[in-house]
Amino acid sequence: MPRPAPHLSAVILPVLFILLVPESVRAAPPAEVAGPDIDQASNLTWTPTAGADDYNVYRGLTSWLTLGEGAQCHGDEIAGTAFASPAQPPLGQAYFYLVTAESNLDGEGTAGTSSTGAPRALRGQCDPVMRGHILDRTGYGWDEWSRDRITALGVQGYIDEQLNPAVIDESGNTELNTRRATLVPPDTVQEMSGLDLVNAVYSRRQLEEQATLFWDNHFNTDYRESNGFFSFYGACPDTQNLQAIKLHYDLQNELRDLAFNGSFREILEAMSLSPAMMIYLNTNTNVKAQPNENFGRELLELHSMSVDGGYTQQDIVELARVFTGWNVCKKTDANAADPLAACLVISAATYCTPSEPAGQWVRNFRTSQHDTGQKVLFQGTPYQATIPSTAANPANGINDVGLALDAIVAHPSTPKYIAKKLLQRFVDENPTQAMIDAVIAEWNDASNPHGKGDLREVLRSVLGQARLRDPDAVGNKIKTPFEHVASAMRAVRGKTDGPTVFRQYLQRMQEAFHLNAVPTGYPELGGDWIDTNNLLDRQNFGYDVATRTATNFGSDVIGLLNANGVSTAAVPNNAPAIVDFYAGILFGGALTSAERQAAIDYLNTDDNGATTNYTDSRIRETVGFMLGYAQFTEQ
Amino acid sequence: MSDHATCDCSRRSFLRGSGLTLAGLGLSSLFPGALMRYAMAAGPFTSKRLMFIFLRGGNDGLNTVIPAGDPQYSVANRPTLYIPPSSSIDLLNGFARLHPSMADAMDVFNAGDLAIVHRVGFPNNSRSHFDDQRVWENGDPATPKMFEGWLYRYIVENAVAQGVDLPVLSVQGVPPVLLRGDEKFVNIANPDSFDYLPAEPKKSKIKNAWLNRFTGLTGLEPYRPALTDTGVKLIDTLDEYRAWDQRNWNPKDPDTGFYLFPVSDATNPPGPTGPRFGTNSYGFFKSLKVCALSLLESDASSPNGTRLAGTELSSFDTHNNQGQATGSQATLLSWLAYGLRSLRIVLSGAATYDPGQERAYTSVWQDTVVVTLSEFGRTSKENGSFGSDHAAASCLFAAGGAVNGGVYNCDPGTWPNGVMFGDAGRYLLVRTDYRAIFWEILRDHMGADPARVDAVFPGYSGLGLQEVGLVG
Repeated sequence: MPRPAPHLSAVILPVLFILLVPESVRAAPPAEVAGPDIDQASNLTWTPTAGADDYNVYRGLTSWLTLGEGAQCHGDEIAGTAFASPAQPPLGQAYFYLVTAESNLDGEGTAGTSSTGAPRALRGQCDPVMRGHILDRTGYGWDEWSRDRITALGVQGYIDEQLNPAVIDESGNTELNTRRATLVPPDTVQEMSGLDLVNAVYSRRQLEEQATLFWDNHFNTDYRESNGFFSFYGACPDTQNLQAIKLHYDLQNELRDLAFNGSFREILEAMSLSPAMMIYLNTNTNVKAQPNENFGRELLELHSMSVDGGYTQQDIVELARVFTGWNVCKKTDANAADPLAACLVISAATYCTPSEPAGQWVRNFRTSQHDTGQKVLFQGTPYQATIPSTAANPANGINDVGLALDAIVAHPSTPKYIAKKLLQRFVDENPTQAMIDAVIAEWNDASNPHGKGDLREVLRSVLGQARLRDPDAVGNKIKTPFEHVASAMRAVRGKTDGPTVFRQYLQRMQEAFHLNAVPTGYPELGGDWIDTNNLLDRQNFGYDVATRTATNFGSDVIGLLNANGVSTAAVPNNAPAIVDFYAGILFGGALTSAERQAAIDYLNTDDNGATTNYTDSRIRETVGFMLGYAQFTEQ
Repeated sequence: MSDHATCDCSRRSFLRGSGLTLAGLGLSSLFPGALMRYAMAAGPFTSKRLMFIFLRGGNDGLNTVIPAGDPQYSVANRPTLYIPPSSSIDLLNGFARLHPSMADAMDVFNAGDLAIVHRVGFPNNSRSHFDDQRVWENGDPATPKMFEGWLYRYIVENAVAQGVDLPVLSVQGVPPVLLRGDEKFVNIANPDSFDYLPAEPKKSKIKNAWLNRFTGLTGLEPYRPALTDTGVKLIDTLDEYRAWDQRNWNPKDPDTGFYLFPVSDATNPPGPTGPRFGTNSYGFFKSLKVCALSLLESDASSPNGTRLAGTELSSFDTHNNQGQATGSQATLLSWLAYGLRSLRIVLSGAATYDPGQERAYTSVWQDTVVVTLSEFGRTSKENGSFGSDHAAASCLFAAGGAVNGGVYNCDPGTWPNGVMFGDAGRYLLVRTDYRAIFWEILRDHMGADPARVDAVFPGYSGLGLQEVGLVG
């Protein structure tokens, strides 16, 4: 629904947000909502409230009432005075509901008081909770720029802008640009993963970073294989490392470009014939005398159709033949873009010397090594495709890959699988058939700028699913280790030069980019990430980054608080405001009163349990403590 | 079926084994949390132990346990992979021979403590790593996407975890599907850094504060129960693990004086031309070491006992340059063999120590079975890249004091002509279903309730699977 002005939140729990309308202009928020009622079919209704532009519904388990724990946002910005809540509570439990009225200008009204006179507790308010959720899902969480931007544009406006990264101005983004200057182009895999983090932490084009790393992971490659390929540079390891990581950097840049300006067909070809992928899955040694099935299998199973997509062993065999003859070699710069141009002939003695011919390592097609026979894919199905023999003109064999990819992309299993994966990443781990069908429909819209499988429009469709904006979806996913680390950095004005320290954490948490041996890439589902090891390292990371202040790895918690008007002086005691400010950043304010009090107590207590004035150190430790809350790892 | 656990495991895992109902206990939470766990009576306590080692990638069984008596194991079929009898080790049944790099395992074999079982797998495997690994771990070929382990179900059925602080431990990157289910068990990916960061007294302050938060977690988010369980278990485990002091536990072979778990250059035994094992073996040996320590630290009379532990060894997916007597597969097998030999010594309480690091552990070897798994074997015919591709049956090892040592399924009676190409004309035909092997171990060694077999391996009792008698 259109929002004429930035939305303000009233003070229920003492949570302060930026006031964009002068205090004197603001009237009181709407009153407590009257006449709440619920029928047998779990339809809630209530009396219209004066001054309300919309309503929020909150829901909790009745067992929480005795614990004093608040209800969670359940219905956000409801236009009318009715709301259906059909979901059944767990066995033996009951739900309770609260409704508040919201005014665009004057904020959210109270949920009233209970019979004891205490304010009815809410576990966070809908607006900040939803905004935080969207920032987590479309990017790497809160930072000051994103907070201000989503407040200014509203959720839909923010998403729309993020879908058009080119218009998001980074020229003033010093934090990003100074760090990129030392990391671009990366010389080592350490620098590349440092660059990934720098991009995720500091870029305003948050969705671009998410999408790029999504595709980089979907089309997983392993740097160690590339490094092994360049073993002839063993005498000059700097060159070996540089040439190897360059393959992955170049591939990632292609994926980045195509993610918002291309189609799935294009991205599939770009990665299939990228040197990094050709080395990783053995296309590089796939020749007609001995076809290698490795890439063909993963192309179908992991990259396009999924293991249940309806392909057979025969299709893998045929695909192996399609890709015969392709390999990686060095060509002059002038010839680099031509797969048929001659490779440089390099005498082994010249590697690592100035006599090595200049050029770049690129894809190459060897007509003589290509199987020119006819290939048939998906034989006997409606999607059967025949790739004709090129025996009469073998150089035409170079077109086999394109024809095979056409057939794969035309197979309905492809959009089905990709749609589901994208939905799992951004919206819901168990997407409904309706959601999947909606995204497939967008995929099949040939009138999109890049035709069928237009990656930007498909992503727009994914983010346009109502489920993304459903309060019940908040916190249903778990951050991957990288998302956790990047979002922790963003929440504390984190400082990093790139690779230092955080790489060790990501390796320990089993998510080191560009170093994954398994072609499936890293998993997306929370169940695959929650274990004692991961939780320990997430908690340790949050504590580590919050308590350090160095510029190569550290944070500026105190600066962040002060810049946002929160005093960190020990006297007068400002612990509640400090905790509330951070709760807003980390969880959209979604804490129970016990969780809030625990953080306040942590701040007010020294290491031996005595109540003493806090110091800057202890403020940082408290933020580290809060970063280890369960809510922070949910998104 | 979705890609994630879809069984209504919550109620099942909670109700089974305890004989209690949710209503009877009047609980507000559907899932067992820390409070629940300790409130239940201690279950039937067993002293038996099981360690698993998953060989990931698909181990080529034909070169590991060589059917030398089969004429189809030949240079013609395996030009560069073929290992001649002169290079391999006689397994003394006139038919089977062992890969030369597994010589260390012969100590265990000659003591009668190693069962070598060939032709193990399951029918109609997909030959996809991901699906077939999952099937080996979830115990149900009909549901390759199901993420609950047969070992998890055994634990729940037999109340192994009840009243025990650290009953189950995996030491690897992420918890294996074998142990996945609604209740979470401890997984340690980085044995040297498994502790909270700050030093005391800050460590206790934050640890206790987090324990309070995670114990009290409420909320409707679907991962809250898992986070509660994990958070509490993590904190409960840290002190115990620290007490094991694994970094200062360096057991040695009483005969050679070599360290039994090479985890560093200093503990790497000498080989013919330098250190025996590559530095890339240290991670595996460290995992094995921590698993062994967990089984030793558990005392049969105490409730704080680890009974199930395991890890994995990767890179068996030898499509290219597999090697034969030496090479990539050979190297991995040498680590496995040294590991099995070391486990026997260490779990027998026979290890010796450097001065100042002495410890005494009672033998648990009679109570222990160490078993390997692998998702499939590899093509009987070599491929064009000096390697082999995904296939069907492979071999596995089961070691332990109570194991009936010997060679199974690799002799003229159990390896008729043609089985090497008996599956689809390309693959070694399965003779023994993997479920029969593991159910035997669970029932006859671990003492699992025979009446509950179908709860652990769905549909088992209707399958008529032949067991081999490797324990009991």
